[in-house]
Amino acid sequence: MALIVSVPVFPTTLVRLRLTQLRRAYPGWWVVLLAIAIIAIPIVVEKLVVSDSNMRYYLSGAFLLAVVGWHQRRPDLRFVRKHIAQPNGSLMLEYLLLALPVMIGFGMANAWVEVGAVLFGMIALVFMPVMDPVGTHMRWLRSRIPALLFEMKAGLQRTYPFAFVIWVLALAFCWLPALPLFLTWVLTMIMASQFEECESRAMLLVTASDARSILNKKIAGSLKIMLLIMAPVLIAATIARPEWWWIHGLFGLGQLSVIALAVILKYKEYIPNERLTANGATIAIGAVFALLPGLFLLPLLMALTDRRKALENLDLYFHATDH
Amino acid sequence: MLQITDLTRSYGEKEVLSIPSFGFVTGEVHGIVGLNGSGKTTFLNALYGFGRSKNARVIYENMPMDHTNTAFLEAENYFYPGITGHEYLALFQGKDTTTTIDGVNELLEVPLDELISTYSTGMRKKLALLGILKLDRPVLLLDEPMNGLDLAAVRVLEAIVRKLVEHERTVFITSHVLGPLIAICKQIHLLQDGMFLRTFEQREMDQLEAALFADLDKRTEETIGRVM
Repeated sequence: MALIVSVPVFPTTLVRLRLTQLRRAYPGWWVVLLAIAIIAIPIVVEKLVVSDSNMRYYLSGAFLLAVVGWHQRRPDLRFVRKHIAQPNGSLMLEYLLLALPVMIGFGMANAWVEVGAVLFGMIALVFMPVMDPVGTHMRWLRSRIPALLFEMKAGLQRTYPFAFVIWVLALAFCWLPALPLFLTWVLTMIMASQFEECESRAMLLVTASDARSILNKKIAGSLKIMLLIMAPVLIAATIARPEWWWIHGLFGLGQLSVIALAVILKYKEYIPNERLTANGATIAIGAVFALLPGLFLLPLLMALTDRRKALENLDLYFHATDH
Repeated sequence: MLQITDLTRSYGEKEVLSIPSFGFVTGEVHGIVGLNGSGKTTFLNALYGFGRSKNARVIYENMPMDHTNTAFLEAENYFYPGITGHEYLALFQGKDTTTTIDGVNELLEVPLDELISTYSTGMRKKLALLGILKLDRPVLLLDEPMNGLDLAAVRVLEAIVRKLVEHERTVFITSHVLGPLIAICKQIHLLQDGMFLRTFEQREMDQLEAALFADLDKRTEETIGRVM
């Protein structure tokens, strides 16, 4: 076999892959989604920073934290490093394009330090060692979670130590106006993302006797755990700012709505042993609304609307003998 | 020659790989066998350049061996959601061997125009194999390549590996399925607790199974006798 190696000058492999995935996931209107993101994100960032100068720190920190967290846990990282030409370049370009609308927004608001910080972060990120936690973590906490809620058990294991650090930070900074809420929102997103993987049908059938039973148990159990995670932060934040009690309350309801939505969406689309990555976009939309107190009604409405479909889908696996 | 020096790997306190010095003849097929936890995948990762100890040296034909001159077929393969087989293969930018890959696929029969999400386990494994063949590196590491393959596909894989060796490629294969391994490997190396215990040449392959299961059979007999 001839040894002719053709390596791209510009490492666009991952970017082209993402466009392919976007086109295939949202045929017909992927361009609209992309245009909205490219236009809306800079405007939102600029308006937020201009309205409150502290937002530059929150937004840049949150964005960096989110991307670092994703890099640490992205499922294709080993694949990229092993098989894709110019892996560091490909990752860097992907992150830079992801950060571009945010950087443009900061630039529009003259927050040039934040532009630099995000830019530096996206470049340095690919050289950051990936923590590959070996061993079982948070055993005591995991043992307290019922077996039925294996998603939550897995979430604690997979997100250690980041989720724990975020929770501690939220508690430590409970006296700040928005940061603890934002960090709690990040925890919600982390936990909601654990509901992407579908168990085998055999595992589903031994977990409960029927669709309604499993859905109700999963929702109730997950909400309980989320409440236990959120409550210390929200209570501490309310003690620090008593006049914000209603904001914290509505925010908490919003986060619970997002978790309920994640559970329902999982079982609405449930296919044994599949990974439902497409649900992430829907949950993200719901989560954005849940950030703003009062607008949690949207994810709640989404959850209530899809509950029937989740039950219908689950019924197929509980009762159909030829499915 | 592929020469290894001071190749070690530890997870915390536990040393999972300890190879002070070992050599492999290049241009041949080498089987790596061992029970679960013996260090086979760790060894392949270390050959590939991942997780090597700092003072380890792996030299292939007088050049450092790493991921630039090696292709690795992992036991568990990652596939991006929402893409077809063709789009997956396009990620492997090695060389222009479209004709070769299409030719090999005549035997493997992977429906490259379909979404990977519709593939069976065997099809995904074959697709992953096509990907690393496309890279056309001098050294190939195949970790449990026969997992998920039907009998016909295993035969095709055997033929592919033999052809690779004819083209002076060096192939390392790990497998729990001894039959095909014995059929295609020039040497099979027994790995236990991260160390190479013994190398079996073709004429000694009949002793392999006994050596592999010696301790296990003894422990199994004792335990089964006690509990059942």
